[in-house]
Amino acid sequence: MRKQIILWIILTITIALTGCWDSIEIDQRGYVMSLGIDKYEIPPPGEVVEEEDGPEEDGDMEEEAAVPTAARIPEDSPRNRFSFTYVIPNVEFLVGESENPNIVYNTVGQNLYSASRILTTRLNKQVFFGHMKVLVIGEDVARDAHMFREILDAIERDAFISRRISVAIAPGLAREVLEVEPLVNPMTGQFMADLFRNKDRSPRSGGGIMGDVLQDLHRWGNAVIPRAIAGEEDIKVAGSAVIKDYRLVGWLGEVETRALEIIRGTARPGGLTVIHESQDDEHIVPVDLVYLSSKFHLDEDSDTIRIKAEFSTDGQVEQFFFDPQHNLLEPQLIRELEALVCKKLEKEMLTTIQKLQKEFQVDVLGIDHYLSKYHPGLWAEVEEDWQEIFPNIEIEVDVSTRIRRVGLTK
Amino acid sequence: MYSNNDRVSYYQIINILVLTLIGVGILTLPRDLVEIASTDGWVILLGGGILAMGIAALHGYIVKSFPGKGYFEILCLTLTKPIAYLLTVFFIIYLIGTNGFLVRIFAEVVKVMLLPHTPIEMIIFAMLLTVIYLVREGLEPLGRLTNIIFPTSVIIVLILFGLTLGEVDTSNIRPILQTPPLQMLKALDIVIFSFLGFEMLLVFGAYIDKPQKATRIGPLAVGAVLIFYLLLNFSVLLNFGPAQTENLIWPTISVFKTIDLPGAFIENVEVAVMAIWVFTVFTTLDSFFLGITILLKDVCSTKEHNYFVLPVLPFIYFISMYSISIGDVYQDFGIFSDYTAYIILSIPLLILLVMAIKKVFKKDGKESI
Repeated sequence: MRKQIILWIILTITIALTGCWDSIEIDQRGYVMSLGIDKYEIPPPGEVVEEEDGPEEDGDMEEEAAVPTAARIPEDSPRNRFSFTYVIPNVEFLVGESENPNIVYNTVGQNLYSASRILTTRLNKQVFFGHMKVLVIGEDVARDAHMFREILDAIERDAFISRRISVAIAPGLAREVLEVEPLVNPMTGQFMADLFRNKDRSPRSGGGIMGDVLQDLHRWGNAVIPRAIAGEEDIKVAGSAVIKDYRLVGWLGEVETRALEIIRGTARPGGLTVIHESQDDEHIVPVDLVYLSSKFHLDEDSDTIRIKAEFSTDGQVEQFFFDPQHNLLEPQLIRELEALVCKKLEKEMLTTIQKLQKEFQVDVLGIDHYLSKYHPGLWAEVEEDWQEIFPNIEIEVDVSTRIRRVGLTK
Repeated sequence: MYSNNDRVSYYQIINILVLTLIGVGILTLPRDLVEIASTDGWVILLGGGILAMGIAALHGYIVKSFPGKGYFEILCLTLTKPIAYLLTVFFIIYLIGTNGFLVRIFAEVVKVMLLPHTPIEMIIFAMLLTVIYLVREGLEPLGRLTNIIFPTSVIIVLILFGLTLGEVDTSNIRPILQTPPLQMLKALDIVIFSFLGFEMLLVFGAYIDKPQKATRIGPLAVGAVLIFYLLLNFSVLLNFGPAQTENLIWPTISVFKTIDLPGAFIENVEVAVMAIWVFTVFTTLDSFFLGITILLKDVCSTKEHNYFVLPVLPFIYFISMYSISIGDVYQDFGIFSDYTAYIILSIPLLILLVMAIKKVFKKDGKESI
């Protein structure tokens, strides 16, 4: 009997006294879907007013949080180095009770952690990065190696931020990208995440997965990161930023990015348009391509470093011409088209390689990976000075294309 | 199947040893290997693992030679009583220290990954109290628990391993065999240390159902863990490459964070890994704790081991709270292992030596008669 009583008392106590230090109710969390990071610039006195009258009702109180001066002009104190933009989906919008799909908060701070903590002084939820999907870094931050490395470490060190998040660099301000409310899906964070995950995504931007970018940067400090451009009512992810020594050195255009992705062997399937000229006619022929493989070979006989890059692609003709003179079942015509595709790809690749070698002088092609993995002996000799050697190595490009299918008509 | 007679079957002891071996070392092993030998870590792992299998077989041989005898008795029979006392107490200190560091590392990982606001004392205390509950009951319940945990975790972990290999760069394993052999040989001890735990075979030897099969137990357990470690090492290396692996404190957890299940209702699959890992740490702690109490029982020559459970707890707790930061924990643990593990591993060799000498003398004696 006494034992039973004791048992009941203990059971009651355990139920009554459950204490979980880490319990947070789901509606108490502010799920940051995307995060934008910009370098903080002191606004010139004239512009301050304008900025405060910005379109957001929710955000734009950054000065208050950081430095509550009467004039609301933040000093150029070391505290204000970054400007962070948090995009939190508005749960009330989902159930139809609110018009604003996103809650955009903007805050100024010395680092991500303290800025997020300060944010809680004007947000009734706990900022939670566990479901973050997209990180957008402003150009100014990326151009500053020191700041860029700080941000990268903050992201990598955090136990709750997944390594699968997508990362992009915005020319200009990251905040401008995140403030767009795309027409298709006004929830900016989700929209951008979907953009990155779209299976049909064109190879005109890199993969942009945080884990891969971090891996590249850990190795030699070089990487390519997709570029995110803000439009009026949409966001475009295309082209890429070239990072050298943890610093943005320049941009690659969309076509160059595609060439680079093919060279790196990470290109998704995509199209290419060639112009086919016959005796009396000219046809525009778009070809859908699957980029199959990319292989490097080191020419061991040569005294200088000569790399031969071989690529193979598979394709399908998407459009030719209504009632053409020569139909697409003639293998000869297919061969001609294949040659055109090869020529165009080779040209694009050589231009890109040229740009990377001469203009940026940075090896993001993956030749460093290739040499260190397959020719460790040679790599040991050149590793120290690779930055100087790379611009002068010879790279040959060889593309072979096979067009397999032509669609439903001859 | 078996009544509670403090006997564990052949399979149970293998399960116990496998789960004892897999503890907190698994979290850092891929990084250690990359630091020593870059992409050639698996070669050292394979070499060290096979060596550890050999050492484990020797442990089994000792158990087989003294069926039904505990570690302390074996020491008494071979190395005389005073030395037996000394070595057993040393073994107990080794186990208390190791347990302390283990529970601390466990708590640090849990605090970072799962419970950021819970005080670390609470995490440690909750874990130790649960461990105590099982330790008081002896070896057989542990055997039964491992019977449940082992197959389930193997299935889940294998599935998750498959998922980590979804999008890997297989060329990350290159270059192959570029590390100088001497450097690899020097690193063997680190690998053998990562298999530490098989020495518990000597302590548990007295409770094995069929001691005549004991020689096989050690190599089988270590071999199973070796396969698991190799898989893990490949998975981490292929996913991260050497440069990234070197930068991660616990690459093993991070590698499961890379899993991306499209359309899955669970976003962070690594939670499942964390859950299984908590089980394996639990069994490791339990088995070491049980070792402490069994040895104390032998040294004090009492009948039951369960009085010793609570008095040992404060020591373990003290050691777990001794180091200041996570960096200190790993440094102190390293120093502690360096001072103790070599001796612990050389005790069986000493026993074997004495056994061999005795055999020779016996033969001589018989011949002279």
